[in-house]
Amino acid sequence: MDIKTIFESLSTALDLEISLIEDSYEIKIKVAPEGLHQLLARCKQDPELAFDALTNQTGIHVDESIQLYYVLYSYSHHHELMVNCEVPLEGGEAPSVVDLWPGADWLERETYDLLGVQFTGHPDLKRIMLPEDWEGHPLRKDYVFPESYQGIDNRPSEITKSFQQK
Amino acid sequence: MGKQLRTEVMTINMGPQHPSTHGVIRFIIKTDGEIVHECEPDVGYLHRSIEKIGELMTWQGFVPFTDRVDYLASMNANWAYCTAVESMIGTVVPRRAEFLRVMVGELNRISSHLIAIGATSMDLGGFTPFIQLLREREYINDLLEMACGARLTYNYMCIGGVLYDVPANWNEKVAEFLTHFELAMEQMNRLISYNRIFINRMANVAPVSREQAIGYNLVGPNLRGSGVQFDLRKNHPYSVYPELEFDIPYGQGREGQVGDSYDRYYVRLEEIRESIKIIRQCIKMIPEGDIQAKVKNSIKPPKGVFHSKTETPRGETGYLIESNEKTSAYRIKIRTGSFTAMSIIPELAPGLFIADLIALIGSLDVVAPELDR
Repeated sequence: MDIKTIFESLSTALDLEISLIEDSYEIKIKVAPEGLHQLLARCKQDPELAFDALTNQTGIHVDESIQLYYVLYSYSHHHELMVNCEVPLEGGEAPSVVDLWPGADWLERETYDLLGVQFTGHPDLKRIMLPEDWEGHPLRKDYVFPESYQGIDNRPSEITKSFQQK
Repeated sequence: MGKQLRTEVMTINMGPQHPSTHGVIRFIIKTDGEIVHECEPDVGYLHRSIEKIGELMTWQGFVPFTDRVDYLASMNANWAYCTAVESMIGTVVPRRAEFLRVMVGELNRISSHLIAIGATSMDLGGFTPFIQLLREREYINDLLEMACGARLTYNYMCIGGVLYDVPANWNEKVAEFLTHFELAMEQMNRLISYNRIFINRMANVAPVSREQAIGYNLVGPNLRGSGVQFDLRKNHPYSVYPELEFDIPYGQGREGQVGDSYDRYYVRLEEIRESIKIIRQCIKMIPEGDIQAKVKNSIKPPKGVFHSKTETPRGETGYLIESNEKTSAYRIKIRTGSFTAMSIIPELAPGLFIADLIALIGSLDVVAPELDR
């Protein structure tokens, strides 16, 4: 099923404001965080769509927001859909979809760890890649690398600096 | 005698430096005697922030870093990234380069599966197959070294094709190797794959149902082991795969339940045979011609978010890339097979023996750098 048909089927079935994002690549469906869970649940449960796998989930820091992306795939219909959801940078919250796809657990933990998005309803939201006492979220564009961690000097050496200046 | 033994749940630590965790991964296991009650993987020991590095490097300059995403299958890791960027800028790769990519990619798939199979058998106590398979892998390393000069992190592919053409007699060398290798595989199979002790250790251990596999988003051999006949090379073909004939092996419950550790192991074995088939066809079909498309020095893909996926030895590698029309990516997210494979372990581990947990980790073929990135 192509994405425009999926979009029409979703917008007739749900009482939500959804829109299409058309950039140079595949079309994405945009939804507000309040309607995200409802939309994704519909995507999974509707037999016409049957998106039984969440293949990828991540966020991108753009200006004052985090753009969340959910890539869904259906093993029965072999089609793919990208859902976009914008949350604010500070105190951004999105509903967790672990109840729909158990595989979302680690993907959401990674997004929380590296971008600092809170997923409400996640069973165990904690850092996954970085140590638990790490400060900040490194994949944000305004992240400053800490000068030391646990007494370990992290400042770049003279040689590194000479490369950075170039 | 006759008295009930007092037992209690004990928390033990496995890893991060443990020979059977396939790299630096730590498991926090709650056990009652030998029975695992709870297992929590603690990952991140090899986190090198490759995604962040991708935002600093140029599009072409990021290729050597993709080698380090999965060092056991660098060719396929290169390929996944190059395919993504080529689709973004709409480059058509020359036919000879596509065939070379398929050949080195499949050779690398074989060598990666050899490690997976060998390491599993070594974890279960059979050391000989591991040594034997490393010897075979050495021949593949020689072949890939002839093509690109490196033995582990190849950096062979570039955006628009491959960096070097292969030497004149390379195809014959590959054909020679395949003939030798098929015999060696038979020898290996007699030693381990059809060995009753090995089968008893692997069969019926930690079966993954079809629903679990899809829900936890397992990919590649782990997904196929659970009876899902799905392969990106067939279902969403890229490169020259539509012209090549091969089958998708999948778990059929050969020695026990569908989706058990032995099924996952056996799917890899069958995939090696399919790869041999593919390479043999490529040797016949490979044309003469260019090996690189003309790509501008400073690539600036159009604005937007792109998602691409390719089939690597550890399953689907997905690249979600945002481009800003700059000389480097705005954001690169790499989705790897090991990451999701690891996330299913807490679900499967309860009730297993500790020794079976090792079999499970081995059969999922988790590679630490790919997991942490």
